[in-house]
Amino acid sequence: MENKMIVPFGSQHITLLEPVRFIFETENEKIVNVDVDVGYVHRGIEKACQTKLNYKQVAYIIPRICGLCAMSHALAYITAVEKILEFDPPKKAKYLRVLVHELDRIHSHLFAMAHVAEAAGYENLVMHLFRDRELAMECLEILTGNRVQYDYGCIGGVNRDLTPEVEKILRKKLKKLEDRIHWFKDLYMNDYTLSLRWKGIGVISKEMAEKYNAAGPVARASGVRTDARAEFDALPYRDLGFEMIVYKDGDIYSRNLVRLDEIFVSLRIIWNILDGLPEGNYKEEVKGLPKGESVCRWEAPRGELFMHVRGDGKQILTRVRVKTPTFSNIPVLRELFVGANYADVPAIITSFDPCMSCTAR
Amino acid sequence: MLKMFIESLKNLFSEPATLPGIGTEAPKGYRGLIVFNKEKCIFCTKCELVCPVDAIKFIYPEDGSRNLEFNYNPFLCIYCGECVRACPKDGALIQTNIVPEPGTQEDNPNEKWFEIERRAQESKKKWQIALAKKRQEALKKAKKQPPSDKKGSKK
Amino acid sequence: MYKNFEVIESSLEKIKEDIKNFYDPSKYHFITINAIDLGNGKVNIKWFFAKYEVMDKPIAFSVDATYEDTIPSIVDIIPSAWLSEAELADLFGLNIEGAKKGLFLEPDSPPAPLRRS
Repeated sequence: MENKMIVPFGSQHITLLEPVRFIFETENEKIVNVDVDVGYVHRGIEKACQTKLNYKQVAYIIPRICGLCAMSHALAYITAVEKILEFDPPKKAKYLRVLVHELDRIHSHLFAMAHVAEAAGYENLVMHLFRDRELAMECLEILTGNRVQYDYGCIGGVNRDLTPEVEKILRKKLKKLEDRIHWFKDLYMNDYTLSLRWKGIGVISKEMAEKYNAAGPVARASGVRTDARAEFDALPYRDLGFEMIVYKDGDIYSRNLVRLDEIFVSLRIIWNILDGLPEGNYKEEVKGLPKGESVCRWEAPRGELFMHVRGDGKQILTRVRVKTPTFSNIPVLRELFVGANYADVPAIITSFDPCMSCTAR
Repeated sequence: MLKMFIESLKNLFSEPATLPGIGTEAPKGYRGLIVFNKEKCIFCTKCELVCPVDAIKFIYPEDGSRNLEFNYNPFLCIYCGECVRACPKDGALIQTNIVPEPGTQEDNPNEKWFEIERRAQESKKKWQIALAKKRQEALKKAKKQPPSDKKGSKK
Repeated sequence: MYKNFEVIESSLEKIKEDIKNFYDPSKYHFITINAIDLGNGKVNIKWFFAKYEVMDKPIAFSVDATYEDTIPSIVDIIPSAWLSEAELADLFGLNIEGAKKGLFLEPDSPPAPLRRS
């Protein structure tokens, strides 16, 4: 008993990206018990959405929950409201939504991979990843008008059309990005510094992932076949060549490979959209007030995003609930730490790609 | 590892990926500052209604006329462009690609804006009373002179 | 009323047994627990589940309760539910068995902010 030592980790720590606090009880280097506190950035966005803003304004406040998956939040909310209003957006709008959503996924995944590389001490790779992430960000800036907060979707469709000159620039930049991703894939498969630091560390078995309901790349790296893009019929992913990436090992290395391979899938989807964008309106007028209850499951870059919206026929909604991906992954993260080495903690946390501003909202 | 080494060596002699800093321009479709054009505005106040963060406030004149004063807070604005889309008149509100500058202490953004918010709220109440009076007078006139056509402002 | 998910009505006494009979970790994915304030001290609680890999509607167990009731915890069936329960206990002030308070709110913040008075 006297060998045990309590080590607090967070809410501010040099390897932590977001304010979360873990209290580790350690025995020598091994962690034997964990306590977690996640609510450092509670901003009351749900409360604001239910009391102050009308349902159309909420679509512009919800993405402010998180910068990296802004598009996922906005589109999930918009889809949930459209389901209540029983409105089906035009086909072109759906395709454009997929386009921005997948570009968002690319830059978020590159960001996550860069942070994992940083936790492993591979600064050179960090710089390369961040430089090439810029290509995806530039694509989004030209397409939507902003680098972080896209405000692209709206109830009824999307806010902007894809003009031919924008499409030309997108094609050029994506071609360059694709080449770079191929180079990264080669590097990730062959560079032995990465495998030394990441293989066999922080292993989540399939049973564990299922027991603690892990979501997103974390679950898929452990062999759980779950992806909201294949489980919820909001966007036409089936027509666009979507493929679920599943790895079996469940360690940090395979979580990275899942992200890397998902970028390839996203790029393929984007090429398909650019080649076969349907004609028609990109926005339609929606009338009526939301009355009823609906849910939306959405595959954000970090995992499954869940929206539960209830309206009672008024301008202001009765309930807007956002369940974010990291919220699902906190329980499995806590279990994973028990028995791990304290030195592996930063790498494990960053490999989960946590987003605390989403979790606490 | 060798690959990374070669790539890093190449980078030493290639063009830097970062921008020079001065003179970088926002692309054409960038969602920047909102610009108001008084000549074209019809003062429907739709932009004030749709703004999610209340960054647009109209101050109403005391005489009950429709000559409102437009106030816009670029430090509060989230640049979603919803006001521009809601505007029924082309060219009254435009979203430019000018990158907004951060607020400094000299701008005194908070106190200035709180004052405008307070004035907007008060002036609206006064304006509504003035408008009601105007309408009553117009009604009286209309009763006295039944053949004349409709007078008074409509809302 | 329920546009795109299936709802199984239950009661406070039965809910734990219902979920125990229903839940299969290899088949279903537990999403979250959510509460809706219906006004007048009443609250509706829903437990959401979805199937793995199949395009199907999510399933929700629905229970109507009041703020005075003690809500059974499902942590022994689904170990990852503790976080959702802690959130409801904080934001709605619900009495959930064994839920830790103070995880989402700071000590000086107003209690149960999502309740409608």
